[in-house]
Amino acid sequence: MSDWNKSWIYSNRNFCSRGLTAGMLSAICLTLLLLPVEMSKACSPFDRGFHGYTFINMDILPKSQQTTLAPLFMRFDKLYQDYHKTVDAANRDDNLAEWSERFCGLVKTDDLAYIVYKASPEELELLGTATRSKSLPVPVSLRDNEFANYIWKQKCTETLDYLLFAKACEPHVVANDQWKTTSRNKEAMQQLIASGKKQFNRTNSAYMRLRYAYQIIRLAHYAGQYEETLELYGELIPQVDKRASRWEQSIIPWWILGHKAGALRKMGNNVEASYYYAQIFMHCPGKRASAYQSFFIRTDQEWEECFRMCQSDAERATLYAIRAAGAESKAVEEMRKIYELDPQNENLEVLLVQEIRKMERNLLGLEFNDRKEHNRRYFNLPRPYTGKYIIALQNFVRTCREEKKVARPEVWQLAEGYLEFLAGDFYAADKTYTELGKTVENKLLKEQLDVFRLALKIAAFEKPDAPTEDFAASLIQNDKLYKQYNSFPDFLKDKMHSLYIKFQQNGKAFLCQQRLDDMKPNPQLAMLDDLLAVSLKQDKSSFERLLMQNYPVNDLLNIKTVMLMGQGQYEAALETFRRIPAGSWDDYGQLDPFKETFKDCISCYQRSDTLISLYNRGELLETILDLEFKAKADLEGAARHYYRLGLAYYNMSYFGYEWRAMDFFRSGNTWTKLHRGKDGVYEHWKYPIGNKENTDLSRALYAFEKARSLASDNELAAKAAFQAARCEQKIYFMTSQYKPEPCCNRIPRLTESYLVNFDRLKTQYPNTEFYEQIIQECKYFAVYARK
Amino acid sequence: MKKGTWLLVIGYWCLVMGCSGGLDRNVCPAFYHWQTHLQVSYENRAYLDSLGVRRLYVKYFDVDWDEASNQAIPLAEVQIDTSYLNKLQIVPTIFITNRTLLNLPAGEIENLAGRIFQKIKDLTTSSFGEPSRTPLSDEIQFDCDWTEQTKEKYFHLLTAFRKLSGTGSSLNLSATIRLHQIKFFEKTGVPPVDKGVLMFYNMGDLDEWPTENSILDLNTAEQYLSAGTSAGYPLPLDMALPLFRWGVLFRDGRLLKLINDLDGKELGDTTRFFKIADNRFEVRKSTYLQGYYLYEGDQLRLEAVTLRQLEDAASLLGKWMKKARRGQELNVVFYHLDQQIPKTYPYERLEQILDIFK
Repeated sequence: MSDWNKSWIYSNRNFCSRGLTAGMLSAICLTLLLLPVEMSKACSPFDRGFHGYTFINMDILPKSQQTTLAPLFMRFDKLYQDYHKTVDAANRDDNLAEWSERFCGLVKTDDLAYIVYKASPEELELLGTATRSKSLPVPVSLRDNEFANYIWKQKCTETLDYLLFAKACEPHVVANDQWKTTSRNKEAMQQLIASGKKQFNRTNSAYMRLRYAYQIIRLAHYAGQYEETLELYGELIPQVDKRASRWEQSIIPWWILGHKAGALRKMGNNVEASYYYAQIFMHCPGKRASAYQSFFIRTDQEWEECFRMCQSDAERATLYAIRAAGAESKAVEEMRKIYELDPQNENLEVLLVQEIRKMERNLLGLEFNDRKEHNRRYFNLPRPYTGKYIIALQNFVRTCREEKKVARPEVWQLAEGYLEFLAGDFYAADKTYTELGKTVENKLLKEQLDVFRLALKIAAFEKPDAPTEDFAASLIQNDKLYKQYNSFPDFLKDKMHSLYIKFQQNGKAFLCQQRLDDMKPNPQLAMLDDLLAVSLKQDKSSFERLLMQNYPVNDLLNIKTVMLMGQGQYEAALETFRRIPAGSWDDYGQLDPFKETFKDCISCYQRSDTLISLYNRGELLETILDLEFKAKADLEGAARHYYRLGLAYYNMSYFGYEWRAMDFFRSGNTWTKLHRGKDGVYEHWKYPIGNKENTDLSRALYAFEKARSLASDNELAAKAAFQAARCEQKIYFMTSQYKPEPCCNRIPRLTESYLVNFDRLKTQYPNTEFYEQIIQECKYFAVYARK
Repeated sequence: MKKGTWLLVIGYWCLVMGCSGGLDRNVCPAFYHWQTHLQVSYENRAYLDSLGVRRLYVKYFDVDWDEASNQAIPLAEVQIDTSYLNKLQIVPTIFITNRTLLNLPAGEIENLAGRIFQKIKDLTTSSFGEPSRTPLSDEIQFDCDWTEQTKEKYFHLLTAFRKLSGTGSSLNLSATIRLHQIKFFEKTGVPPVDKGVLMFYNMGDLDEWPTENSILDLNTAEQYLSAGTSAGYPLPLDMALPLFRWGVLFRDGRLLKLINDLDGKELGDTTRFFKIADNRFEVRKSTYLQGYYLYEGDQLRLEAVTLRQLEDAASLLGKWMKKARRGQELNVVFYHLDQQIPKTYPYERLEQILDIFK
C-alpha cells in the first residue's frame, strides 16, 4: 500500500474527525490486505544481508572441488547452505551410482532406486521366488523394472538376499522422529547381526560380503554396542576380498570406517576417531561434510598424536585442511603447512579461493561501496586484521607462484594479481595480469583473467569524463562479461556514483543508484539543476543518454516547480514551469486548492463531481500570484483574497487535500512523528534522501490572520479565526512540546499558547452564523466552547 | 461482627502472617543442570544435601528450528543417570530458541506444545520408570529470550501447554525472565505462567572487548531495577544466580566463542598465552584450547563470579524485593551444577548468600 493511501486513516486524528466506524475499519483492513505490498528486497527495512561484490568464478576450481570441497569452506556463501541441504541426496546418488557401476550400467538409475530404496520386502520376496524358480516370470509390479529383470535373468539371488537383509535392517538404523523418545530394539538388532553374519559367511560375492559387513557393523554401532562394533570390524573386514570386491573403487569401506570412528569416539578414543574421520574427509566426498563435523581435536597433544598416525603427507595435509575450514579460520597458517607437506594438494586451491573471497568481502570496492556502513554494522567488515592478513596471504601466494610446486601455478599468479588489486596496488595488479595474459591457455582461467582486468579498469576510473562515460555505457550495452557476472552492474554504478559525487555532479550521482522517482519525495535543487543541464546538453555522452533516457526535461522542470512551490517561491516556480511548453501544462495534474474546508480529511474533497474549477500547475501559480498581488493592492477585497490564499496554502500543505500541488509523496505515518522532522524532512526506509512534507503553515496562518483582521464582515472573520486555529494546532504538533496521545486515536490537547484563535472565535464571534455551524460540525471546538 | 471484634481478628492475622514484614522468607536453594548428561556424583550429592537443595531444574532438551526440515526439533536431549537423585525433585526445563518462534507458523503452536508435553513425559518415563516412581516436582519451566516479535507465539505456546496438563491440574508453570523483560514488561509482555525466575546474570555487553564482566554487572543491573520493586512485576519471582565462568574469545576485535569453565590455570602457559591485563590474555602461539583452535593474536577475557559479587547481587535483589514473598517460599536457583562447583563455591558461603534473601 502506498503511504498516501494510509495517510487518510491518520488524517482522521484531526480535531474535526468523528472517529472511524466499525464498517470503515473493516473496509480499511480489507484494503490493507488486498493492496499489493511493494518492497524492494535489497532495501527493505529488515535487510540484513551483506552488500558487496565478487568476481571469482567458482568454475575455475576443478569440478570435484566445486561440488564437495568448496561449499564446505565458503561458509558465508549460499553455496554452503545449499550443499548441506543436499548431502542426504548426494549420498543416495553415490550409492546408486555404485550399484549401477557394479551392474555395468546396464540398468536405469530410477529402476535401481526403486528396488534399493522403495520396493517393499514382499515385492523383493516375490522377485526372489521368481528368480529361484525355473518357470515363474518377474512379478507384475516389477515387470517394467530393468534392475528386477536383470536380477531375474542373471539369477542374482545373492543380491536379492542382501537387499532383503538391508530392508530388514532399515527400521533399526534410519533416524528416528526426534520428538519420539523410543529406544532401539537392541534384541532385534542383535538377532539381525547374528543372521547377517550367517548370510555373510554363506555369500560368495565379495561385493555383497562388503555390503553385509557394512549393514552388520552399522547395526552394532546404532545399538550402542561400541566394543562389538570394533570387534565386528576386526572380524568381518579381513574376510572381505579387497581385490574381488574392488574395495579401492567403492564408497562402502568409508561408510564402514565412519561407524568404526563413531564407536571409537564413544569409547573415548578421540584421536583415532578423528584420524579416521580425516581419512573419510579425504577419500569420500559424499561423507565429507559429516566427517568434517565429526573431526574433533581438543588439545595440542591430541593434534600431535593424530598427526603421528598419518601415513602420508597427503593425510597430514588433510588435517590442516579440515582445521582451515573452520568458520573464522585464518587459513594462511594452514595453507603454508599444507604447501610444505603436499604442494599439489587439492585443498590448497579451494582454500586459496576461500581466503580471496574473504578479502573480497573486506576490501573490494570499499572506497565506493555505498553500503559499506551497513556491512560494518552487521558484519564488522572490513575486519581490523585485513591489512595485515592480505600481506601475509600475498606473500604466501607469491611463494607458491614463484616456486611452481603447486598443481596449477597460473591459478596462483591470477590470485597474486587479484590480491594486488584488492590491496589497492593497481599498477602491480595490471602488470601481473599482463604477464599472465601471455601464458595462460586454460579457457576458464582466461575468462577469469578478463573479468579481473575489467574490474580493475572500472575501479581505476579517475574522473567522470566523456571517455570514461562512453566506456561505461559500452559495458552496459555490449559487454558479455559485464552481463555474465552479477556484480558488475553494482560495481560500475557505485564507482560512477562516487566519481560524480567527487566532481559535484550530484544529479548524475543520484541516478547511478536510484530512480528519479526516489528523489521526488524530497527533490534537491543541486541535483535537479545538474540533471537539467545534462538534459539540455546537445552532446550528451552515451552514459548520460542511458541515465536520462526515461526522464524528459519537462518532468524535471515539473519536479523543480513542485519543489520551489514547497519552498514558497511561487515566482521562481512559475518561471520554471513556463519553460514547459504551454501545450504540455495539463500533463502535470489538475488542481483546485481553493475549496473552503473545515474538516481535515485529505481524501474527502477529491471527487471530481464536487470540483467546480480546475487549474493546471501553471494556472494555479498564476492565480496564487495574482491573489497575492490583489491582497496587497485591492483594499476592499483584501480580506477575501487573503482568506482564499490561506485556503490554498493550507490545502496544498501536508495537512490539506490538495497536497499533490506541492509534493509527490505523502506519508500518513508522518502524523505520528510530526515533531521529529528536520526542516520538514523525515527519514523514510524507502527513500535515501528522506521524505519532505510541506508542514510549514506559517504562510497560511499569516493569510488567515490578515483576513480576520481586515474583514469588515464578522462571518468571514469568524471563519478566518477558525482556519487560523487549524493552523495553530498543526504548528503545535510540530513543536517539541507535542506528545502524541498514547492510544485510542484521541485528539491531542493543545496548550494555551496554541489556542489563541479558538479563544478569539469563542469570545469575539459567538454571535455569528458560522459559530453555530462550526460548533455542530467540530466536536473539538464544541468541547472547548463549553469550558 | 462488631467493629472491635474485626480489629482483634485483623491484629491476630498480622501477628500470625507477619504482614508487618516481620516473617522471613522460606528460601529454598536449587540448582540448574544444563548439560546433556545428568550424572550427580557422590560429592555433588553431599554438597547439595549440605546446602539443603531439594530441587534440581534439569534442562530436558532445547527446541530449535531446523532449516532443512523446516520444523521445530528437540536437540541436546538429556540422558539421565538416576544414581544419587533420590529425594531430589526434578523440574523439567525446556529451552526454546527465539528463532524457533520466529519461524514457527502460528497454526503449529499447539502442535509444538503437544510435542513438548509428550517428550517431557516420555523422557521422564524412560529415565525414571513408572510415573509413580518419578521424583518430578509439580513444576515445569520454560526458558526463552522472547522478543516483542515473538511474544505472542511464545505466550500462546505456554497457554497451550498448560491446557494439555488438564483442568484442575496441580502443574505450576514457570518461565525465565530477563532483566530487560522486567523493566519493560509493559512492552515485552508478561508470560501466562504461575511464576517467573529472574535470571540475574548475562547482563553486560558480552560482544564488547572492554566489558569487565558480562555475567554479573551490578551497575547495569541497578539500572534495570531502579524503576521499582519486584512487587511492580505482575508475577511472583524466584531468583536465579550465576555460579559459572567462561572465557570470551575475540578474534580481530570480534566475539567468536564462549569457552565454558575456562579458568586462569591453562592460560598460565606462557609459551602459548601472555597476560595483557587482569583476566585478559592474548594468544602468543596458535594452539588448541578445550577443542577450539586459537590463532596467534586472538584475545581471551576471563569472566567469573566471585562470592563477594554474589553477596552484593543478593543484597541488591533483597532490597529490590522489599517485602515481597515474605512468609512464602522463595526458590533461589544457582546456575549451574557441575563437578567444580563444590570446590569453587563452598556450601557454607552459599548459605550466607541465601540468608541475605531471608
